[in-house]
Amino acid sequence: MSHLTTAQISASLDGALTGPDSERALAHLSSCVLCKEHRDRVATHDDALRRLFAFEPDHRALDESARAAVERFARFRPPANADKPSIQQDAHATPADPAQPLPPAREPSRGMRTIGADAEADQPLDVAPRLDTERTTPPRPERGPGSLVETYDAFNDSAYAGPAARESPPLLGRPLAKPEANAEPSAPRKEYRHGGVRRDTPAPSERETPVRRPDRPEPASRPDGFGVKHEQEPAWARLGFQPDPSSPGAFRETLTGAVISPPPVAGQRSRSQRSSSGRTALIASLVLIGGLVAVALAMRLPTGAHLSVRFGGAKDSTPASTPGTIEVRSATTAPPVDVAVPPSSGGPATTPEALRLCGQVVDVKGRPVDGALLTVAVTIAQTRTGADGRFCLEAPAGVQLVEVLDPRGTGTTARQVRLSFVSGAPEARIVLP
Amino acid sequence: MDTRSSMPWTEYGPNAELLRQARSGDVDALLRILDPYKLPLWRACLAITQQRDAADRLFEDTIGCATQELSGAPDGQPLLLWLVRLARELDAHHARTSPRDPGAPGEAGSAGTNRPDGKPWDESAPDVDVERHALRAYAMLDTDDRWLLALRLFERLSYPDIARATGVPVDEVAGRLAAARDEIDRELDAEERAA
Repeated sequence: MSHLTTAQISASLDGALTGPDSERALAHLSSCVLCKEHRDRVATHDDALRRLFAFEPDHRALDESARAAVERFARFRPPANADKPSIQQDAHATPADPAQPLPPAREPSRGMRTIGADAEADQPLDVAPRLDTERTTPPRPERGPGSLVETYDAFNDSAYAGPAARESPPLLGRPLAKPEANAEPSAPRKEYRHGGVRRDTPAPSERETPVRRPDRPEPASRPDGFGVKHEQEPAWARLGFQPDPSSPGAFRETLTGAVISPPPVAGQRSRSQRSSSGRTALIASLVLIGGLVAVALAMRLPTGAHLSVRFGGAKDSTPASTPGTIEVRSATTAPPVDVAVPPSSGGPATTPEALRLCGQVVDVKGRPVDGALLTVAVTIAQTRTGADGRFCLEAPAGVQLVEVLDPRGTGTTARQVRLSFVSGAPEARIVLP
Repeated sequence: MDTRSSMPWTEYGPNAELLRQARSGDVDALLRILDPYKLPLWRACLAITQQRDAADRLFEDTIGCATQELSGAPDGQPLLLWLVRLARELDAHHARTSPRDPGAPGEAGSAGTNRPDGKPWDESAPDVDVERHALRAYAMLDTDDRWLLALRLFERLSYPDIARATGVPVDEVAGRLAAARDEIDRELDAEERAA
């Protein structure tokens, strides 16, 4: 009998030989030393490998490792029933109509249009200057069907005109709508020499009151008042006055009924004011005549006589080089003749009754308020406080209502105070909250 | 034949309900599924890497990979086989990307100074040379042959179970096991002659 093969020895070690093969192998191994030695050597190797790998792991560490791995990777595992990503559709988008042509691409800029190419489509501005150099526009040649530029513009205009206009389909590839034959002719168009075109639009006062479009509701009132226009209330109404119907130009205080007259202006002076002004003019005329006479007399003096005319009083010893002094010198030693001129009453045209009142605007902590606007209700005279909060106002004598506009915050907070414009009145102190 | 329980290698895995829960993200369900496979999987990792620390890392990586790829787990075959296939693929990937320690026993041509359990060789032991040479010869085997030998020696599976676990016919299993043993024997014989 031949020796056992490696497969037979391996199978005998694994117990895989059955039946007669197993009996023959066992019989041979019992009689063949070489095969038995081979089998024992292979068995020794198997046992050595089994011993090397025959150790158990740390079961607790194994469990923790498995749990850690599962928990760490389970967070990044997509759910099994997750749908594949798809393109989200806009539920509010208008479904495209395949019958309609695609809208044209937008122009880079609406300001890049060719001037004059689509003058009819463009609406001229209403603020066109009215010059006498304008001339009538020569008749334009009849234009053909809508060009590409016109369709672009018409589409853009409809796109920007609002939802109502957008309901109409784009006009690309279609001629522009011609005006009806029985339509009302448009206003004559005129053209300036410099090329500008204007349309005879009615003056703003002649225009009809613009009617708000029904698709644009009134803007909702906002608590901060932003974006909502309010009608400007007149100053006299904000100050608590109303016009006095009995005396034009006068105002009557709403609460007390006191009548406040407006300050005198040129051409509307009272009788006493006119007489006072006449006396002043008469005195000035006399002084001027006297001066001229004095000059004439001086011209007749011998050569070398001094003539000195000074304004400001005879006691004034201001040198002759000061302004307001006329000095004529000669070689003679004759003493100068001084002619005293009384102070001129032709200074600033201030009302005799107007008094000046100064004061300071401070806050509750006593800090000066810079930039506060003070308005006298009667004269509408205004002034602003400086950095130190100080101000000076002129107003007719008496207690006057002054509106103080607080510059802090929104700058629209106004307060009304009453200030006494009397001679010798102490400085006013206005405290803003 | 001296065989160990082949249930983890031959059973068809968890029931469908448990697997559905695990696939829906239930961590506890997945841990219950993996519980009977942890020890054989770790032994398989040890047989693949031949080092305890490397086996621990490969075991954890395999569990993590299985967690991620649970939806692709086959329904008609034992789950342990799928786990071991993942472990072998991961080990091959690690071998390509980061070569092992040259001193490791699993590395071809290494001195084999380290025991798989990480302990030093006991030079006073009578079979220390046999174990060292056997380990070195085992490491030099082909990967598939080494795996077949591991299934037979460490898992003590029968030839039919090995054939079922690996998809290799029983006759080929017997022949490849015999060839692997013969290879180890010839390597040891050559070393003895060289010595």
